[in-house]
Amino acid sequence: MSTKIKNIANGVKEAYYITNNCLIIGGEIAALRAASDLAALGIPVTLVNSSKELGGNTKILQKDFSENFINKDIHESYLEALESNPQATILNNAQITKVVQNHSPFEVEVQHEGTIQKIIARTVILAMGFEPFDASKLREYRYGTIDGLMTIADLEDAFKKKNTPINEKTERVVFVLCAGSRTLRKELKANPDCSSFCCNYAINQALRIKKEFPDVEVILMYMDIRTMGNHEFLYNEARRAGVLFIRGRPSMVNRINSELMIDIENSLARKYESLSADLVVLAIGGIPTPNGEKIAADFGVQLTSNKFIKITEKPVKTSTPGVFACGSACEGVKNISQSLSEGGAAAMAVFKFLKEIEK
Amino acid sequence: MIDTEKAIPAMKSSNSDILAIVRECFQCGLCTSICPQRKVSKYNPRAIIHSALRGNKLTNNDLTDCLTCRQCLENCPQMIDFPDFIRENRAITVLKEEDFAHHNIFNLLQIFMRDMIESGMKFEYEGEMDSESGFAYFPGCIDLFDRFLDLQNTNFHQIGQSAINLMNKMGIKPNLLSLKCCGHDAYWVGDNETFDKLREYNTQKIKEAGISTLLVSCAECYYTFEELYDLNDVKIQHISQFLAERQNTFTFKENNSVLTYHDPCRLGRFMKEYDAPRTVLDNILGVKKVELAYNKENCICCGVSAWLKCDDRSRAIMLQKLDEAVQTGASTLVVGCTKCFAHLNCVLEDRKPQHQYPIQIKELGTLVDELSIDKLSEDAEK
Repeated sequence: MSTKIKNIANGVKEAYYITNNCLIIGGEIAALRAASDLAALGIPVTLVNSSKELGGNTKILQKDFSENFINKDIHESYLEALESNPQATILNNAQITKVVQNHSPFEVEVQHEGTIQKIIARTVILAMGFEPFDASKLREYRYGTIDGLMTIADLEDAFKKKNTPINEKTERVVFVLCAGSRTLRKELKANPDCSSFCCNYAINQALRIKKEFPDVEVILMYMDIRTMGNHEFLYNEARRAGVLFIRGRPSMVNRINSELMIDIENSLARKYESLSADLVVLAIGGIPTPNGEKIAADFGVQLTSNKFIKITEKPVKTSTPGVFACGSACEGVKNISQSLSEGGAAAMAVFKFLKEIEK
Repeated sequence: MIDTEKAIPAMKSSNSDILAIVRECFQCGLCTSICPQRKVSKYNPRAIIHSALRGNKLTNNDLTDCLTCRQCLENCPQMIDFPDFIRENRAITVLKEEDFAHHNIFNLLQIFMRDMIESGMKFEYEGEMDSESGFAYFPGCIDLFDRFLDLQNTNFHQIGQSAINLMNKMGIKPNLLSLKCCGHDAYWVGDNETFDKLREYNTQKIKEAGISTLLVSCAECYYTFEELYDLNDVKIQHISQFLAERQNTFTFKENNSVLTYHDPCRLGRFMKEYDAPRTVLDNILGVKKVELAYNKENCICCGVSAWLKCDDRSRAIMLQKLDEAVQTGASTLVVGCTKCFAHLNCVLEDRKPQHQYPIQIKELGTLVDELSIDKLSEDAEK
């Protein structure tokens, strides 16, 4: 297992030999982790990423709030490691067009920069990540049709560009959790499960607003607070800073007489409240990527009832031998630290699989 | 992991475990927040579910205040059918006369139709009818509303007459079916015995008539025949769908009024028919259609259902609805349900000096009949 994989152009009959290598589909943080780990172990990896840059959703929602990572773009450190390693081939803006052979050694065709490339790989890691939920599907919140609504991704972007709509005159900012998560309404095509990253994001953003503008009333409307990955400290700090938590799922956001109104049953106080707000932030969750189902079917990989890739043996094995999955593409949406751990686990599983073939 | 298939609400007939309908509730309170009754009272579906799961019996107020408008079900993340939970509980509870509006006359009439008379309702309409036709029309209970509701300026009979006029204008001679009440209200107050008997009678009559299409003007009839009856091949059509299908065959008089449309819960949230009435209204020449602030899936109920308790709170909901309609700038509020038509007109006619609503309520079929030109008879005259 020494030679770097050669991408053989379609139609050109070039002699090739199969290297003990790995094809990684996806460009999210778990894919980066798996790729850099494998490259460091000397395994040639080809990373097929459908978007134009690596990093997936971490490019917008880039923060992992555990103390090591605050204010650091995590994906960048992995990018550096990958770019400097000759074992890694990165294909951005590339699409899997065909899976010719769906058992090891796998054979796939990839469209990249106008040409079709054939890739042969002993192992595959599926790490497509997740698709942010389209908040405009929640008709009752009218995202995209009335002013004054943002998603946590919009707000994170605004923070980065320093153009948030919040200033000294702002009176109230309301965060709505579980927007597009934990709902079984079929027409929404939302995530029936907890998306697990959004509580942390929303609380962190609420805290940030409260710290910057102490006079702004910041309210979080939640069903349950789930600070996955040891982030309870954020929740504690937010309450200490004066962020107000109201339990309930708002039923309506609407502009009435030019005022942005949000309706909720405060189930703690058993009180129906219709609050005016200057800004309503929807903590959107994640859903499976649109091409995920097809890729899984092409590799003969089973899906869960929620259309994520099914893990048949924890933590990263799928139903097809030699195909592994990690991050938000499998089982459900995950936060960054979980995705990172799974990326590492997938790299290890691939290494073990290749070692067993050698015997 | 959540199994999405499991979330389908418990089936209607499983009386054995009513609580199964609500057991998956995770108490988010969205139902209460969106409930039209909650906006005018302390009614709290979330707390009712919680209390029921703790083993408490539902009070009569819990049971009668629910409008069964399905606004909660429409938005519930767990798809819990609270209206059905209420209906199942009504079936095992004795409701008293004071729990109903108009001294319960309309529910008594259903029971009367069930037991006392052999035939269906008799109708007297003008126009061309054909008892052999495969296209049938059933006006519903509108003649009873004329008789028992004390409304001066509201003509219920005209709803049926207009529907027949429209059919005649298109060259259709309908078979005017003499059915008993569809039983919608009996079903929703939990009187399963009455409902079953009415359904049995009507099903038999409809099948005997050998019709292919049954047209109704009332959203409740439409929902009941379509969802609760088993009529196999007979196509049930609401007047709005009938008109939308034939939108191009109409010509309209010039008219410059502004209209708004109220989605009845049985037609909208129950049967998901939002487009047909809008298609009809958009096609009327010169008329401008504006939407209510809360429309389609989020349209607020007219305030009363199944003739249960009509009190100050019901009136408050109705007045809010009129307010909402007036604020759109429309001069006419169009409805697609004879019940909404009755309730909203009732509060409109009961004009208190402080309530002056510059708006009229019109049933969809009646409006189209008024504004459309009878091409067939004009051609005949020529």
